[in-house]
Amino acid sequence: MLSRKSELPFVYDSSSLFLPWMVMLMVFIAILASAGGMALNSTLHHWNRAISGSLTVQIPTHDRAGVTRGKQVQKDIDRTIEFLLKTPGIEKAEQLSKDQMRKLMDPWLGDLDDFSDLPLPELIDVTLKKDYPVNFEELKEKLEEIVPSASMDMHRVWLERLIALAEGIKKITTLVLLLLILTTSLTVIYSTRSSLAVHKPAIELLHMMGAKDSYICVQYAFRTFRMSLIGGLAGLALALPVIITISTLVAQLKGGFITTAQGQPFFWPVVFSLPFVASFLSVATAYITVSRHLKKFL
Amino acid sequence: MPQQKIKKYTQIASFEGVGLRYNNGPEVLRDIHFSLEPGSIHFLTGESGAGKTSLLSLMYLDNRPSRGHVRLFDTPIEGAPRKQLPFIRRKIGVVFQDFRLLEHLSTFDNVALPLRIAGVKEAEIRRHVGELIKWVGLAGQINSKITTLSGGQKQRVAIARAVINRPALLLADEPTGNVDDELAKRLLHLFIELNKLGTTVVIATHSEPLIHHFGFPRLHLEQGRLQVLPGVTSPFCVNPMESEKEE
Ligand SMILES: Nc1ncnc2c1ncn2[C@@H]1O[C@H](COP(=O)(O)OP(=O)(O)OP(=O)(O)O)[C@@H](O)[C@H]1O
Ligand SMILES: [Mg+2]
Repeated sequence: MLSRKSELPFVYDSSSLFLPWMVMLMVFIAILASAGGMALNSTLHHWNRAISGSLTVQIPTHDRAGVTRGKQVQKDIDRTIEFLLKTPGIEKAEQLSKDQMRKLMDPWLGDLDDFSDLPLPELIDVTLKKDYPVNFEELKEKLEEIVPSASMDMHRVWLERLIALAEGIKKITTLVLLLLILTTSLTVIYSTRSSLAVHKPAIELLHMMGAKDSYICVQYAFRTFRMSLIGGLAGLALALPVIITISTLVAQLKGGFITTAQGQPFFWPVVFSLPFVASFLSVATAYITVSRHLKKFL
Repeated sequence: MPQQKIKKYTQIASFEGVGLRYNNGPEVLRDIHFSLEPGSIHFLTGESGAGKTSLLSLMYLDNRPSRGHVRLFDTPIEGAPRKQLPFIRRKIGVVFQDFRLLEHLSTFDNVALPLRIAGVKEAEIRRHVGELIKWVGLAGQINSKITTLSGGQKQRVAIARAVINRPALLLADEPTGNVDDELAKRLLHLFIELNKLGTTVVIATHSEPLIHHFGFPRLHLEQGRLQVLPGVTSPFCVNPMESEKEE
């Protein structure tokens, strides 16, 4: 069937030229979108893990002029922890060790081994009780009254906003993918229908020679498969250098503040299966379109 | 030719009070009443526009009657489910007046079409198709594209395609309009050979010499009505099945 020339002269219908381009575009965007989606997913995961607590309190070790504050620092830390633990809704408050500090700073400072020279503040990681409403603004004000040097970072607030943004982007990506599938299906339907119209005499002839509908459907399925696979593989060929370039650039940022998708176990299988998934979708659409159309013939 | 067995039918085709109109035009066929006995051979005559092609198209299922009943191989066509039609059609060979060949394919692929549709194996197809193409004198054009053939050559391809499957019913619409008398007679002999093997044949033609030469009974159309005229005795009108019946 593949080796034989089709009985319907598809070479002559111009509508068929359109389909490979459409599938190419779809596969290209789909690969980029899923790479982006997967990278976003693992980045979110990473962020969620990076800061176990939801709040951090900073106690500066140096004053504005750059002079060390000496013993005052440890005093402030102790008073802050004491205050926090008395506050309802707070489960834990502990000072971060040097090791934990290093881990946290890794994304920004890289492999710097000794950063004791840097005027870094001491950090207190605060874990909130689950589902216990805490008024952050009030807490911040009270704390700053008791320990004027302390400043509170509301990770939860900005992280949650960031996560919400990322989730939004994921939703949009999914929507774009769905739209692409829809557009491609419509392209297949359109191209198949106009081809059916062009080849009406030949189709009538095949019917008159006793061809079943499936005989004609199969010819269309092969036509669509060939064209969409060509398009799909071209889309893959275009997308590969793009994702490789982007992930190389991202990797150069180091530290994993933003992660790439390649590490995900399903990434490469997904990328390489997309052209085939797209072809399969097109073929199924074409088959159904032809089959429904032929029911109108005698 | 592949040995497709021709089953016994009481009637190959029967028309009862059939009328046909195109869209909302006048009836081009009116009150058509006739039946084709198995193994019969007829000419279909009538002046241009009399409705010969229309009548044949009712038999090769390109049109449905506007009224009346058509039965093919003892099956009423009105009631037949769409799924059954391919199997009825595979028993019918048609030579279209305008050939209806697939222009982008070769002589070979055109003639092979009915066999491929019926799912015959490629090796068998190669054997039978090659043989028949030689018989109609196109051995030299077997791989030529249809667009490169002359009118008469195309006609022979159309005839070969119609008979390759050894149909139970052969409908030929002006099958010799584009060839000289000698070739026309030779091609009609092909139909007679098939007829002797049991195929029921209807040949629409304008050609008086052919009608006289072969003398088959005629289905004659005039003003949309059909008349059956008896044939004249001729050496070619030997029909084993019909004579058996008459005895
Ligand atoms: N598809 C069609 N739509 C409308 N009218 C048609 C159609 N086909 C045929 N007719 C009309 O039906 C009548 C019979 O046409 P038909 O083709 O059956 O004649 P014919 O006997 O085969 O003629 P010829 O010998 O010239 O081939 C003609 O008047 C023609 O105009
Ligand atoms: Mg005609």
